[in-house]
Amino acid sequence: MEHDQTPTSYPFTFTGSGGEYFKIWIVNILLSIVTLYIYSAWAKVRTKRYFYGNTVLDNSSFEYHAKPTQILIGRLIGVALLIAVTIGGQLNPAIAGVAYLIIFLGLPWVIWRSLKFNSKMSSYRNIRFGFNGKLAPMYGVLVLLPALILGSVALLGYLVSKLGNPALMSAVVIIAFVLFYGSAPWIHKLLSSYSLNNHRFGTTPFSAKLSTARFYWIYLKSIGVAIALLIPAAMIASALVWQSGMFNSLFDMESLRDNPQEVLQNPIVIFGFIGIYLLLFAVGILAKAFFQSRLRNYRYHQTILGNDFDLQSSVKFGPLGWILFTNIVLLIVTLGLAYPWIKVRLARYFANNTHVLATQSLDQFMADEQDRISAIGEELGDAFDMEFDVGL
Amino acid sequence: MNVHLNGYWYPAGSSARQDATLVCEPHGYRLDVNDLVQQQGPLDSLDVSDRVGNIARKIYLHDGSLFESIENDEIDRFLAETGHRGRKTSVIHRLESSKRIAVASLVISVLLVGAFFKWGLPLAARHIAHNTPVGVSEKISDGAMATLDRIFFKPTNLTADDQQKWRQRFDELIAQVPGEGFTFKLHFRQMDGVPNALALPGGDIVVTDTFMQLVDKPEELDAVLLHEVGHVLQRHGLQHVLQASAVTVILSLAIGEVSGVGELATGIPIFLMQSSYSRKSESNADDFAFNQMLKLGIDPAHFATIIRKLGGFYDDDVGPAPARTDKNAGTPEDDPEGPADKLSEYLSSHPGIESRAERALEMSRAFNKL
Repeated sequence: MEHDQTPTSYPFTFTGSGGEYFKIWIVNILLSIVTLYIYSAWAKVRTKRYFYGNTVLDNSSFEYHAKPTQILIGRLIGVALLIAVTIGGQLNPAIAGVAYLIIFLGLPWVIWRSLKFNSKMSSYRNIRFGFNGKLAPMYGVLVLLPALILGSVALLGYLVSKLGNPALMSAVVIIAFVLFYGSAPWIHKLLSSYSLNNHRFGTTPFSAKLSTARFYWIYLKSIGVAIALLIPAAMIASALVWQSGMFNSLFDMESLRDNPQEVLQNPIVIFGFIGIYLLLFAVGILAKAFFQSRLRNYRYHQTILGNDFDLQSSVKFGPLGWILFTNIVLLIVTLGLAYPWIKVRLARYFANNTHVLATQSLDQFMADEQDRISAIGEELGDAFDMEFDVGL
Repeated sequence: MNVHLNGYWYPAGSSARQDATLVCEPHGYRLDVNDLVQQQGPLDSLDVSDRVGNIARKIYLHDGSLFESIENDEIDRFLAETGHRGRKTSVIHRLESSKRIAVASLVISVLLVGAFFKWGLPLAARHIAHNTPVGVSEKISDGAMATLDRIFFKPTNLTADDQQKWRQRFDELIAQVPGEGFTFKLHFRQMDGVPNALALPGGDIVVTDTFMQLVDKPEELDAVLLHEVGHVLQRHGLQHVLQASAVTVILSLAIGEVSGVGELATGIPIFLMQSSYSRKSESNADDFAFNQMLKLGIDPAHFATIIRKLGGFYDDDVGPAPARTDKNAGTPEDDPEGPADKLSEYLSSHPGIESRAERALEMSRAFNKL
C-alpha cells in the first residue's frame, strides 16, 4: 500500500439552508398533526435524510436509510408508554415511580439498540456504518455503577446514623453529594469510550484513547467558567433589581408577612424573577458552550478511523456560545418559528469545524455483512427524549 | 425520452468512487464508467431514493452498486416520464418546495393546535370524564383524604353538635340535588388559619374552621357547598387529570427534539394552560351552584357575599367586606380591576373574585324577579 507522505485534509461542509428546511419542517408538522402523529415517522426520516444528505465530505454526502414503517411501530409504542406513565402518574405517584424504575432498567438496552440501529442505517460512499458494542457494559455503567455508589453511600449513612453524631451525618451527606456528582465525568468517559471504540465504518473500526483525567479537567473548567460568569450576571441582576424597585416590593416586610400572595403577584416582582431566571439561563448556555466545545474537540482529536483517517474538531467557545445564546433568543422571539434556521445554523457551524486528516484514499473502504434488526429500540429513545450523542 | 445523468459510481460493497454516466432510455438503463459500458438493465431494477430538498440522489443498481448524482430535476423528470415507482413520493417534495404551501401549513397548523387546546381537548376530556363510572372517581380519591389529613389538616375545633347541625343541613340540601350515584360526605378540619373549601372527586367535601368563621348566614355555606358539589358531579378532577396528561404528552412529543429549551418551554405553557382550564372549571362549578340555588329557592347573592368575604380576608387594608344586600347589587364599591389584577387573574387558577361576585349578583337579580 502506498502511503501519502503528507496527509490530505478533507473538510466537512453543510449545504442545507434554513429557508429550504423551514418548508420541509412546517409540512412535516402539518402532516403529523393531521395524521395524529402517524406521519411523524416519515417526518423523522426526511429530516434525518436532509441533514445527513447535506453533510458533504470530499464531494460525497452521507445518507440515512431507515424506512418510516420500521420506526413507526417503535414510535407508537413509545407514545403509548408516555401516555400510560403520564396519566398513571397523575392518579397515583407510585405508578410514576414504578414506571420510571422500569425505564431506568430498560434504558441501557434502548440506548444500545439505538446505537446499533442508527449506525447501520447511516452510510457514506456506499458503505454502511456499524456498531459492535455488547449490551453488558451498558448495564454495568448505567445501572450497576450508580447502584453501587448509591448502595455504599446508603450503607455508610446507615452506619453513621447509629453513632448519632450530626457532624458526621453532615459529612456523609457531603460525601454522598461529591460521589454522586463527582462520578459523572467518569461515567461520561466510560460511555464515550464505549461508543467511539465500538463503531466502525464498513470493516474499518474507529478507535479512541480517552483519558478520564481529561474529562474531569474539562468538567471542572466548565464549572469554573459558569462561576466566573455568575459574577457579572449577579452584578447585572442586582443593578436591575435595584432600578426596578422590585427590591422595595419584595422586601416590604409588612405586606410580605400579611399577604404574600399579593406581593408575589405584583408584575414587577414577577418580571424580576423572570429576568433573573433568564440571566441564570444565559450563564448556563455559555458554560454549556464551553463544555461542548472542549469535549467535542478532545473526543474528535483522540478518534481515528482505521490507521489512516484522523478526525479533527476546531469548535470554539466564543462563536459556539454566541450561536447557542442567540439561537435561544431567536426561538423565544419568534415563538419557535426560527427553529429550522437555528438547527441549520448549528449543523453548519459544526460541519465547518470538522475535518478528516487522511493518509490514504477514501476509496479503500469495504462493506461488512448486513443483518436486519427491528427499529423499536431507537424510537423508544425518541419518545422519552433521549438523543444519545454518539460523537459523530 | 432519453435522460443522461452525471454522477459518481461505487461498486457493491466498496467506497471506490469513479465518475460515471447513467443513461436512461425507454427500454432500459446503461451505466458508463470511464467511457466504458459497465452494465445495462431494465428500468424497474433501479432503486431510486426519495427526493428531499436538494440532497444527492442515490440510485441503487441490481448488483448492489450505487450511482450517486445531484441532478435531481433530471431524475425527477425521468421518474415522471417513465412512471417509475420512485415518483410516488414526489408529491411531498412538491409540497415542501412551495412558499405558499409553507405559509398555509403554518397558518393551518396554528389554527388546528389552537382549536384543539381551546375546545377539542376540554370537550373530549369532559366527555370521557362524564362517562366514567362513579367508582373511578372514588378510586382516584382513595387515600387522598388520608394524605390530606396527614399533611395539611388538623382536627376541627367545631363542637360535635355544631358539626352535626351543619351535616344535617347539608344532607337535606343534597337530597334535593340529583346525586348521580355519588355519596357526599362533609368534613370539618382546621388548616392553619386558612379559609378553604374543597372537594375530592369521590364526594368528600372539606371545609376549614377559618372558613366557617366567615359564614354569617347558613345560605352562604349552602352556596359554597353547592359549588363544591358541582365540581364533583361535573367530574372536574378526572377532567383535569386527562387534560393535564394530554398537554404534557403532546408538548413532550413536540418539544422532545429541541434540547436545552425542553424544561423552559414545557413548564410555562403547561402551567398557563392548566390555569386556564382550571378557571373554566371554577366558572362551571359557580354556574352549577347558581342554578341549584335558583331551583332550591336560595338567593345567589349569598354566594357574592361569602366570596367577597373570602377576598376581603386576604386584603388587610379593606378588611372583611361588609355583607351586601340586593340594594347594593351592581354598584361595586371596590376599585375596578386594574392591569395588575388582570395579570394575576391570568396566572391564577380561579377567576377574579369580583367577576364571580358580579355573576352571582346577576343571577340574584333574576332570582328576585321571579
